[in-house]
Amino acid sequence: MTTTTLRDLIHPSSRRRFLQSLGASAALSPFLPASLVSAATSTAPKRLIIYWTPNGVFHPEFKPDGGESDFRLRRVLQPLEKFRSKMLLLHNLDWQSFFKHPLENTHSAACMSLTGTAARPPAAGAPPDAVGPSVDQAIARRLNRPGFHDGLVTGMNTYWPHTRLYYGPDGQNVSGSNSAVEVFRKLFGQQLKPGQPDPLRDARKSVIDRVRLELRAVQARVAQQDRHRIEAHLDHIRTFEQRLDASVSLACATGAAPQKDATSPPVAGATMLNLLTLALKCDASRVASFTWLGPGGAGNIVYDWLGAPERHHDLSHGGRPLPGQPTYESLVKIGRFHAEQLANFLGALDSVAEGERTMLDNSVVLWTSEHAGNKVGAEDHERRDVPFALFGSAGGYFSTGRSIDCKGRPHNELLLSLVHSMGFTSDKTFGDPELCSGPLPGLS
Amino acid sequence: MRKVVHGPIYPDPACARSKCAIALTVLLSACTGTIQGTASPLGKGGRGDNIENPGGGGTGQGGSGGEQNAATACQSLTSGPSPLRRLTQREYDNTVTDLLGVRRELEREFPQDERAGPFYSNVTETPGEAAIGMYQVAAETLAAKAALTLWKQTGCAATTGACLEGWLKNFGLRAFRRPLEPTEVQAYLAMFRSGMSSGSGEVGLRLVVQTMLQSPYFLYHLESHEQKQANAATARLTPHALASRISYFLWQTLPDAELLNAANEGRLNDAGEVGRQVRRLIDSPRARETIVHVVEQWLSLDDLDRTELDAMSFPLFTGAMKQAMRQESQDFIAHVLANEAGSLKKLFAAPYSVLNPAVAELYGLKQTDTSRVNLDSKQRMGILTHPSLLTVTHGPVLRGKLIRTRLLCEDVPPPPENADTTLPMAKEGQTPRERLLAHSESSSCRGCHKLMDPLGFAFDHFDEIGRWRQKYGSDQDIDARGDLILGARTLKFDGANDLIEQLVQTEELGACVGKQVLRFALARLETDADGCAAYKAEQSLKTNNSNILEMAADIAASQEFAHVEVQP
Repeated sequence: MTTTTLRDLIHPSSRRRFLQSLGASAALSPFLPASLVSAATSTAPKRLIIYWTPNGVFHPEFKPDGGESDFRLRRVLQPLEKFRSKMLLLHNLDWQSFFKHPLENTHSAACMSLTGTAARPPAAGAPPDAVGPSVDQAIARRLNRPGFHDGLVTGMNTYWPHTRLYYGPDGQNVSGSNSAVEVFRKLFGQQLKPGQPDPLRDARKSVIDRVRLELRAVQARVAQQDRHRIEAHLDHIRTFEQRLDASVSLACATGAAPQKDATSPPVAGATMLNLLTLALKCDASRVASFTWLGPGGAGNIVYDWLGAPERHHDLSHGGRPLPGQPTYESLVKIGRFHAEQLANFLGALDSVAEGERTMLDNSVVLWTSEHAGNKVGAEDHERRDVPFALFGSAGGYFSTGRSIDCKGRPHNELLLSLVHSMGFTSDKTFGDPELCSGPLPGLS
Repeated sequence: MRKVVHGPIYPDPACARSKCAIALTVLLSACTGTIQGTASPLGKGGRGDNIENPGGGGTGQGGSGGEQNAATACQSLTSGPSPLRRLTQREYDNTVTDLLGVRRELEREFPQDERAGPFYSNVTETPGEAAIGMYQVAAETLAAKAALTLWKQTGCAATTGACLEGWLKNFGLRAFRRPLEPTEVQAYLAMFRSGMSSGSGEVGLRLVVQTMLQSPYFLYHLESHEQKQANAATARLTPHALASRISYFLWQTLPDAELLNAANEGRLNDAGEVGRQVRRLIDSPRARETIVHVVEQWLSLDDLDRTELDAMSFPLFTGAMKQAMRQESQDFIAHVLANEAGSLKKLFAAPYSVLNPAVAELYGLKQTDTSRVNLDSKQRMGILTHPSLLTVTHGPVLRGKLIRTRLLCEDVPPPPENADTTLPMAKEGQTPRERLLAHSESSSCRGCHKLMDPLGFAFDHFDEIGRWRQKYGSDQDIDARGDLILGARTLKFDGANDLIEQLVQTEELGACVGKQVLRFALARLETDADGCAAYKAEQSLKTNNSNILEMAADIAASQEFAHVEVQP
């Protein structure tokens, strides 16, 4: 291996060469994970991944036929057939927070999706926000691994100002990244092999020291109402510093970083999901989310690469098409596409052995959406029978291979189940406590 | 209570074509005169809020109020506050380019800037992790690119930091837009030495540059002011803060050497010298480039990039066409600034445009180059009839709203919560205009829509991407007549050109343009204390033949602009 100079490390293109020199040529596959030592232990960590798609689901082809264990998947879920023993399909879970805390019935109510809280009264023209954390961020905080990337928010078009999903402890919105280049850099771009001299890290540390000093000086002098903005800036700097100290090894991510973000949604989506797999494998993150195109307006895209010429959002409001009609087929195609992307991701997790189990077994993946979607007898933005599907058992917590009727219970209970499944079993409630007196019965 | 099927969650024009178009139904109260909220110096009335003209009164109120307020407003010197502002992306890029002589790689966009009114300004929200992370990455990349050249420029030998002190003071002055404190000089020299000890002078310099580019003194506009007079509500900016303010307003970058010298030598305390510097800046192409961006943001032309239309219905509307549309408007604005003495009236009523080959297709013309082309005087005039703007708005409601909010500075609030925002199904033989008349049937919609929609109907001869049409579809006649209600006055018009010709004569337009450019200059919304500045901007347009550049110069050279509000 050639000597790596500071210049090489600082200049990104040289850095890529450096990465390539560490591993095999990886021009074709952006992420070629190296074999992992830590992943093979029996005490593998649990992980939670949110897989979130907009505009509900197409119920006529999403809902399985049959009973609890002899369920038969219909067209939308068929791509997931090979994971049937590892799935847990939940029906008739309702957003009771939505009915208890009346809110304008728009896509903005998605702030309740992962929080189960009331929403703050919005200022005119602004979207409402949840008053508490989303389940992923709550768990990430409990994991308490400073410098790691628990609570990583990724996706395609995760930023949609009028629909927000991810919230920190006090209900502050957590924004995500759509860029695999950016996420890779965040996860792995700052790390070297343990023990390797790291001039880049040293330089960054001294920069951070100075910048922090100056930020504090500025904070003392700006007007009272601006201080929290400098405080937020300081917080980010602190986070960067913790990451510098954290031990995620670049060696885990040998292979070239993605050099450019794909513009094609299916390619960009698959790239990001690959990257999430890598983040979980390398234990850079234990809680992460992928939002497949933002909800509402940004979800109003055309899946033209599937041969579905209509906008997804308009389709989801476009009445109840009958089998054989073009819009019916488009809805099936889009639903199947979401399922296929998920299946690829689950397959990647399932291919990593962790002791007796696989990484998928030690994880739980939640697929959900912002409302029920096209369903007979439902109104627009129906908040009853919202789709919830789990994959993986979170290390045996969930009893999978089943399709269950939850009979209108509040979805807060499922959110609490997720908290329990990640090991925090003493928690009594999640979101609005009046809507959650325990985990969802019958899942374990 | 009627059920809201689609609330006002769709600010993106994409949905204006579907049933949620009508989500722009507006509050009756605001459109009949209730003042919405109070003026805030910040960009918005609240987090994520899109109140554009706080305190601006309801739609259709008409009258600038300038005449009545001016006498009182200008009796004593008042200026608004100076809230903390982070550089916009454009300011950042210009600043690093001028400071380092290298450009940031543009393939990686910074997170979107927030807006104050129509203009980009990071004045309210806390910076996100993504933004701060981008600063870190960009600083490292830029410092690496620039360090060697900068090191050669210092002419220092890499033995001690002593030689570097002079260079550092000058570089720091430009990076922070103020002289470095002695302690800062020492701290950065120490940093240089530590970098140098592990490499070369270049490495030391790189560390210094990398740090300064992440410093809050670089990333934020931190405006210092002089000691205020006893009992005064305002204080004068320090010479360097004023130099920076003028430079970022007119050039969107750090002050150049001449302006910094004037500040260093204390000459900017002299109004005559401020005037000379402003004149020098405004006469440069860089100022015209800035004003092109001002007009683009003001009229939301930059939203074109985010405008989506049904690809099946508008196959011509490709990414390349978006660029061509924007290019036309940019070329046209630049042309008006350079060749029509910055005339606002020409901006709206020029009988020509500057067409490129691609956009010419929308005009039904063949073009092989980009050139000035006279327009059919029965169809089009000025920027409001550009395909760019007609596409961003792409329908009567948004077209009318743009005139109300951006050209007349009126507040058009979102529809009331309980409004039914679903358009009735089109009836057989009904024209699009007739269908929208549902707005005038509902008491909760009527108040605002009767003020907005007719202004949009004036443009009904243009389809969603700005092509002229004689009829809707093949056989439905277009009625482009309507009333422009301005307070107690009603101006009748027939078609876009007629509306535009009357609009440019109104006092309201001039008052609003003055206010808008002032917002850009201050990078925030106005407060009561800015009343006199707004009034003077309006007067400047009047006395300078509606010359926007001269108005910008007058704002930049004014006493109000050189002062900030301070706590008594």
